[in-house]
Amino acid sequence: MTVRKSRKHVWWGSFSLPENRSGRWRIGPAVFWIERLKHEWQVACLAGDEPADCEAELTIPIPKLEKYSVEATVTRFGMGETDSKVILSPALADRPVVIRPDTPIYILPNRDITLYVSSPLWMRIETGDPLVVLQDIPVFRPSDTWFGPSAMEGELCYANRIYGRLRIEDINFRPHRAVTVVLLRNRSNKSILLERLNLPVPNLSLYQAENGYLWTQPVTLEMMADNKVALELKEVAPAGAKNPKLISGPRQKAGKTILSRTLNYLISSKGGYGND
Amino acid sequence: MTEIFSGLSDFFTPARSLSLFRALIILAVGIPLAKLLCSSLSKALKKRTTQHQAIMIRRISFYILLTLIVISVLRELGFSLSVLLGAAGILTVAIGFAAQTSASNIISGLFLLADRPFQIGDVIQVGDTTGIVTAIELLSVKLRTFQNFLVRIPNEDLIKNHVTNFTHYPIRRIDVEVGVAYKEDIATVRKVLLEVASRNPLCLEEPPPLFVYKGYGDSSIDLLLGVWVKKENFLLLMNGIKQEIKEAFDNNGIEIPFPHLSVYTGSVTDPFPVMVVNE
Repeated sequence: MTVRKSRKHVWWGSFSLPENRSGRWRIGPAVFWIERLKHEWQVACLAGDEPADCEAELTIPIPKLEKYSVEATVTRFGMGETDSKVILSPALADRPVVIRPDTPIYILPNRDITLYVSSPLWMRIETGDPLVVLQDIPVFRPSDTWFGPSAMEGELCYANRIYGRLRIEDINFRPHRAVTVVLLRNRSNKSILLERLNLPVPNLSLYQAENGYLWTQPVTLEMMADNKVALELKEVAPAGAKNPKLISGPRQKAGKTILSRTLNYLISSKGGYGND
Repeated sequence: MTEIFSGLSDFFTPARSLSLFRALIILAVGIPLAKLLCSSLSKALKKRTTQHQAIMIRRISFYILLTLIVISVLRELGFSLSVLLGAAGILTVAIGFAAQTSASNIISGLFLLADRPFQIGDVIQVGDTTGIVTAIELLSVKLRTFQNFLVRIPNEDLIKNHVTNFTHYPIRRIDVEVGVAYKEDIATVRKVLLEVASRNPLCLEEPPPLFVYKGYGDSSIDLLLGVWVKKENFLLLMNGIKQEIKEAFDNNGIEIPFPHLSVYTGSVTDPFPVMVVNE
């Protein structure tokens, strides 16, 4: 039995499970069990509220008598013969994530600010040869939210409970989150109030630093005078990560509509939603 | 018997047989070809049009091609086109009088096509009927109600009446009306309600939940919590949030009162006699 309390935050990788045995991945209050049977895989998930800080703990395999919690949601995947190898990998969210600074902040004309934000991770479970994805689930399910100029126009996103910070020292690296460095350049001649920012994480690549922390590729937002915002996604590893290794590419390729948008689709002050 | 055969052989002269053969070929090749053309056209326009428009374009183009095929067949069989058009004119007037409703439905269908108030798959309400749009035809729209009934609504009715489309926008609001006892602190109740909305991941963080102090009811202070949700999660949140509000009120000791009835006998009448019974 392997018990790994993951100080390095690393819960992903390739694992081998004997037949009729399960492994347990505990990330804070969230617990995932993966059981290998002769003709099926079972993935059980017990979600919890997202903690401020947590560690990952892996137990592979768990004792034979230990069963997963009755409250867990179990999903079964049938196949001819199961392969002993199961691969867990972190992935970024499947929708953009809306982040906020702890308090709204003005970006002055012709000035730049750098915002450090962390966004929630998904767990991708794969097995077989060729690899097949069993599940792609959030470690902690973020709240849904809407981002756009009105309740009629915009896009569905995930809300981020963790604030964006101006100093990297204020960011806590957590096993269920990845950090993005966002450079905001105000190229207009007026101050722009940053209340919320739509971070297109499905278009970002994910990197693992030497110490096990996860980073995404950096993002640059250039705000022009004509209310347009140019989004720049450079395919480079973030500068803050030591010896970064690419873990996964973007879920979606960034199209023209993502890279150039009007201001109110990427940065917003509170809009009128017709709530009353 | 011999007479019949001789009559048939007189009728099917080589020239006539050839025309008949040609007409059959036109029909046999023309109709599948028309179907193929229309379906290709619909597929080609798929990205630029809605499902509703694609279906209508396919149908209309098919009927035009079918008319052309029928005219070609009739010409091949020796019918004069000018006579046919004259007859068609008279026929149109006759049919027009007889089929006013159908014509009105077809025209209403064209208006609906331009107006696009809903598409296939939308949940709409027309009068007392609510259901999912399963088909938009030339004459009518078909709805599947949540009880799994098929309801056919003539296009004319859709033009004349109010149509509510519940799924036009990607998000919608659920209004939960709740009454609390007069003794409760409304600031605390508000906080509890907003916390319930904040804890539920299906409940959108933005637009923010709406809290409305509706008024003073007979037995309770009436409040309203409006929470926004992705349209697909409507039913899930509709049930979930009500249960969560009840649980949160129970945990915080907030009372949802039953209707109270105070009976007053008037100032000049004696009070109700009350008897205390000790066991």
